[in-house]
Amino acid sequence: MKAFAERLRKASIGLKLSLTFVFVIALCSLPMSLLTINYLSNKLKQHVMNTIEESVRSQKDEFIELILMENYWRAFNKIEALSQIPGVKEVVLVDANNRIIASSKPEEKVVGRSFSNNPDYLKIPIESYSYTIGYLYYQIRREYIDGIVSPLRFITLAFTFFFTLVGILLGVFVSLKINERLRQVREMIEESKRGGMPTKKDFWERDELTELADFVHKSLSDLKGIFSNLEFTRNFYESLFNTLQEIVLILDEAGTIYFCNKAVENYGFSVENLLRRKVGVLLEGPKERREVRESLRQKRTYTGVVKLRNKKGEESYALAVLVPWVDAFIFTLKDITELKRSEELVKRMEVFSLLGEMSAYLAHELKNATLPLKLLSEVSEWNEDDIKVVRASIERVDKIVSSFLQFARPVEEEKREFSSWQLVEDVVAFYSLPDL
Amino acid sequence: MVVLFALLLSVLLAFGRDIKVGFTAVIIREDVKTIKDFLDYLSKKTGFSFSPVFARSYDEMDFYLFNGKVDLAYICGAPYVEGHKKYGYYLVAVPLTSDGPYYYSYVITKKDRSYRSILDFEEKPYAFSDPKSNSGSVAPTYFLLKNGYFPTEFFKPLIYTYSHYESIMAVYKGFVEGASVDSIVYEHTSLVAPHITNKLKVIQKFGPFPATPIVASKRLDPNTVEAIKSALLVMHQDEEGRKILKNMGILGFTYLEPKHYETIAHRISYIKKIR
Repeated sequence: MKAFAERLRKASIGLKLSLTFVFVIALCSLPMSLLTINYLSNKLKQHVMNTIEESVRSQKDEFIELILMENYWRAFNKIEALSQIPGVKEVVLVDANNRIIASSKPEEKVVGRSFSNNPDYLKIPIESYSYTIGYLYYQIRREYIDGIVSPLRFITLAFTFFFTLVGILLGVFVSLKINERLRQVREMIEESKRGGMPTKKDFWERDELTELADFVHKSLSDLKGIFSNLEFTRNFYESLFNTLQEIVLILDEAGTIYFCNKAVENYGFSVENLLRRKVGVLLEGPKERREVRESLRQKRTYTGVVKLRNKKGEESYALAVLVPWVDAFIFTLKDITELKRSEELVKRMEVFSLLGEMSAYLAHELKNATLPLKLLSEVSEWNEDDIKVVRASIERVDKIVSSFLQFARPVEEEKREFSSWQLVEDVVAFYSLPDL
Repeated sequence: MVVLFALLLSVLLAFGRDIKVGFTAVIIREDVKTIKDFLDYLSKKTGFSFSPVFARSYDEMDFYLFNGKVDLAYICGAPYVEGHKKYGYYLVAVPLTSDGPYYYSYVITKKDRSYRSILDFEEKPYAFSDPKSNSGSVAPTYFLLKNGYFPTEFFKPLIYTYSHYESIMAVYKGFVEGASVDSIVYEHTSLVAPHITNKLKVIQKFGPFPATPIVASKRLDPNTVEAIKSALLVMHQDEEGRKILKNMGILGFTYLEPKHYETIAHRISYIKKIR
């Protein structure tokens, strides 16, 4: 059944039309015809019954007399006359004891014999003053009704067959015409697909299909124009994007790259390789990848410096900006590697400058500290004061060296308790603030 | 002079009105054309005007003859015997057949039946024409009674058709197995409707009996009766008359003395005695 439905679904429009015609004819025409014939048959039967009943009713008194007087021969003539009514097969008149008074088939149902009823007989009671004195049994001649109905049945079937045939032929003809026009419409579409301008098709028929063909032609022509414009615009923007030094990507919510400009080639990637891949493939650091992913998920703007993967093996940095746009995201990566390098150079130069200053300071301090020693070195004998001076100079040099050592050594945090009051006193003592 | 005047008056009176002729089961009433031709012929020959009156039964015809509704009637021998005695019917003429002024009571059945006598119809449906008919009732009843059977009990049932022709049709249509009919009517039927009698056969005859007479009411003027009688008796002598007689299934008319009907009267009295 399912396979049949599937085959039907895939059937040509012609077959479907033919089947529809046949189905409609078979489902509507034939049952309606048969119903009509059946109705007519019943009506005929009813008509025969009514004719007999009316005849009996109109001759009721005579029937009563015939039964009561046992006037067999006249009864026979009556019954014979009734049996001549078209559609009547047999008529039997019996008295109240079911004894045959007369029968239209006297040799089968002999007068004076008992009548054996069966359900094929219809019965009309003959009543005299509300007392049933006999019955008139009769049978409908089925052949008569069939004889009238049969030609109708034959004609109906012949017509149904004829119309079914016409339906099939009509379905095939209409479908061929439709198919031909659809083929031309398809040809128009194929022509358009190949890039050509579709040729307008003229049909003799002016119906919906022609309107569709005209509409398709107009739409395809319009689309052709739109595509041309789009192509131009696309080429323009593609060229524009490709001239940019910064990477421009179009991403979906999942971070899949749908567009990228040629700037990626600066990092050893090819455009073709990157398309349909995740944006993470460009980012080096897991933290940045995570942040970009999160921003995509939350559909929010992201700005940050990211380290790029570079297939050339060079270290690259970029300023990444992610901006939601309609249902997609525009992701730009501006190369700041040079900036980053300059910044480090500046930092290094600052260090060198500081070192120079420190060296000058150290040289000056060491010169000042070693000057007494230089002077005393020319003295043959040192006195007490000279020794003190030497000592003081050595201590000063030691302090300077210790200070530098202290500067060079990394600061180690030491947590210990101290007296803030002592600290204040030490500071005061240092600055000799006796008044305090 | 007076006699001459009376005769003239009676003739004038007869010319002044229709003479009603009654027809019963002894003739095929349905053959209206033959009846009309017969009456027209009589009219032409006598100068009187005739019109037909049909009666279903002999009783009915007796009543018509008695009360004057019918002047002349073609009836059966048995009703004539009774009517002659009770109402004074005149016997006008008797039809002639190949057997002379006599006829028979036929017992008929279908050709494919195996009955050979009326006695074989015991418990079978059987048709008599009229209870007063000689050939259609009296003769077979007499025979059955002589054989120890009462017809009403012998046949199952006994059916009266009130017409010999109807009795023939009842057999032909299979409504009854057999019937007792007037031989003149049967022969006439075989002449006008041979397809019917071709299916039938005569298996027994009762008779001969004096033929079914044309009788006149005693109300009818004797001179008129005489004129009609004269016309009837010579009917077979002209071409037109013969043609009509042929259609009636007879050869002509003759006259019989009423005493000829005593054989029927004897049967009637026998039946009445037994009943």
